[in-house]
Amino acid sequence: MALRGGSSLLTRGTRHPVFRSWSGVRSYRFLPSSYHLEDVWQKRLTTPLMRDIRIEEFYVELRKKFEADKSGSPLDMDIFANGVVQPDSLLHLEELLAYFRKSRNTKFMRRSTSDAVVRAFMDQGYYEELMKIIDNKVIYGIFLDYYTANLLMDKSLELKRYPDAVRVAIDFMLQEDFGHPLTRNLSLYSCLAFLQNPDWTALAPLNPPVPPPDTGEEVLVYVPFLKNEFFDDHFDLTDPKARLGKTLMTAGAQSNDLLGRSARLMGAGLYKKWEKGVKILTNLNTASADNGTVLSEAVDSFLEALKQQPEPPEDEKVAAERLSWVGKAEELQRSLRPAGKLKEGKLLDLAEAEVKKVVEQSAETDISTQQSLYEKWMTQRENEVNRQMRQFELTERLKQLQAKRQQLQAEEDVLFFFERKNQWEKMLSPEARRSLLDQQVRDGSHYDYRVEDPAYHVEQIKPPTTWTKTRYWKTHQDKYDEKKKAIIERFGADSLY
Amino acid sequence: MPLRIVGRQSTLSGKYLFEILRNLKDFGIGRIVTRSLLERYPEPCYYLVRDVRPIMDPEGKFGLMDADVVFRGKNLGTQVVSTGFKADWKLVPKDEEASYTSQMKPDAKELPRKRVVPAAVPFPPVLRRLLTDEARKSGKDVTTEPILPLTLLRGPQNYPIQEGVEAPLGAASSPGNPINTILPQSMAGHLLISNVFGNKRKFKKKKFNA
Repeated sequence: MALRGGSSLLTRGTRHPVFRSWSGVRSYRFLPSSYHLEDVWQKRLTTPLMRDIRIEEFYVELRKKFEADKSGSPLDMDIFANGVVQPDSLLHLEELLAYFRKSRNTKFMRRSTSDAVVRAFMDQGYYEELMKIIDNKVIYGIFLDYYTANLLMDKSLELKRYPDAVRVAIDFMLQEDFGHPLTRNLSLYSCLAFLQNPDWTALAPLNPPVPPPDTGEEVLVYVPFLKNEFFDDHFDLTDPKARLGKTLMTAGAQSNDLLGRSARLMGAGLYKKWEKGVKILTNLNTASADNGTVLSEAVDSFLEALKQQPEPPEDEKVAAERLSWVGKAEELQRSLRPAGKLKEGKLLDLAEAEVKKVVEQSAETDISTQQSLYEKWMTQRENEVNRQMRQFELTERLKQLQAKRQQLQAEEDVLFFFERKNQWEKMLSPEARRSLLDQQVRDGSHYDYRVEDPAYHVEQIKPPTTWTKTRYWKTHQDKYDEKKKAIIERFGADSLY
Repeated sequence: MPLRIVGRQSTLSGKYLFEILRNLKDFGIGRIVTRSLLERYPEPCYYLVRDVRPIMDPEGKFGLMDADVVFRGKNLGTQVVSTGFKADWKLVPKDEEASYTSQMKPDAKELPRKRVVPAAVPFPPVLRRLLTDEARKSGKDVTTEPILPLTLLRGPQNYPIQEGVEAPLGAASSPGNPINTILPQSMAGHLLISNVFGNKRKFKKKKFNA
């Protein structure tokens, strides 16, 4: 892993120049400044638990713990992520996240952890590193929620880091989770804003698979079965154009309005789903005048993508098919225009207006729900720590009591040794008893003081018993008889035979 | 090429289960996955993820999943799925989930079967000749063709619908069979193989000498 080799974070120094300290005023593209919930977020550091924490020492301890038992505690991880306020700790956070992801407890990662990670990196202005973490689910396992995604997308738009905003949108496309109107519209806006001046190299995969070093020597790796090549057209998508196109399609499919339809059509062009694009156009042709409108910009971009020669050049068969789609799409475009279904206007402006509208509608509720969530997480964290502390104290107390009990027992054994000499000797094995007796006879020290006891009788040393069926039967005969009796009483004598 | 992987060829196409699930939020709890091996059935077959026990190995090969298993339109309940190491798992996109689940009615436990087989078939030539000869000798009507009623074996995976037969196993040869009213020319009651050849298959008890 690259993390162990050295610092990826600190040496690169990619802190964004527009960084402002968290105590300053925040500015956003669309969201109100109250959306950041600065005060509520800072409140987490005022609790006695977080106040006392020393993050460097905590890191060392956590690291030791991870290396010892390979399964970290989700609570520790959460506390660490929430405690990060300095850029130096971000590297440690990244490292611990990777450790935690490898453990089986990763399933129990708290929702607040991913929130805290995103906010920690955002507050320090390390956007590139944050994108790397969000992009690689296998190594870090950070999944965004609607609130942090909105925050991140809006901040990226404000800083004009359009590829970052698009990456967040793509993340939601991969999760197929555009349930929140604000997230959906911000994603659409981010993609369209990126498309104004697209730099596709900036959207290249962040964690490309590393080919093994070529040593010139062929190494044979034996496996039971070879895995066939498989392309799922979702997680395996690496082409930035296709990813962005699919994002536009999935986000646009959530709402059947002018923006949604246009985005879907544009996305089909980028994603090279010609059939789906032409289907959208035919649906528009048959739909009513209200539900059948689309921006001519989207149709033009779809046709442009359709007519474009791909590189490297495709087969003749594929090219012929594509040309047939071109004919159909152009015909549909010609029929849409006189029906008044092709609207003029810019898609980006439409998306911007939609985002502004949605912000007015849902920002308030988002803020209130997130505020209550932060407070809930804070109390939950405190309660959980208190519970675990209490548990720890109890186990410690129990250990102390057990030690005390053992000590008392030892003292009692010493004090009452001669009274219990019988019992001690009984605990010996027959051979040891015999040898002890011989020793005492040889010494002349043998005196069987037990003869003074009127209830004393000499125990015979029995030969070792071997287990046989009849012996077992004889020893347990009473038990069997009882069972038999019970069965006969309940079911009758016939039931036994 | 420094690495060369050697192994037997596989007929499966897809991914390991946890190769998919570890990319999803909450390990895909609530999502639907399916196997390419089950695509050959016309009825819906899928797994609705309920809980996971990941191992987090680098390939995503190992781990257990608790899922609501639906096999050929039949809900088998929540089961532990341990076949995640087979490389033929697929994630069902959310917009296609309805096509899997809509066929499953919430109250019905399974889909009605539509595998209809004939209730009776014509006899093979030699048997037919024998029977018609026998009928002619005894002075019966020989213009109608004799028909052999079929008795099908039924099991948990095999329960076809027979035309006109609603009763289960072995009902086709019973005298009260509705087939006699539907197919008047059938000689279902008295045209058993045992009637033709005599009951030769007698069960012999084996004796063991101790």
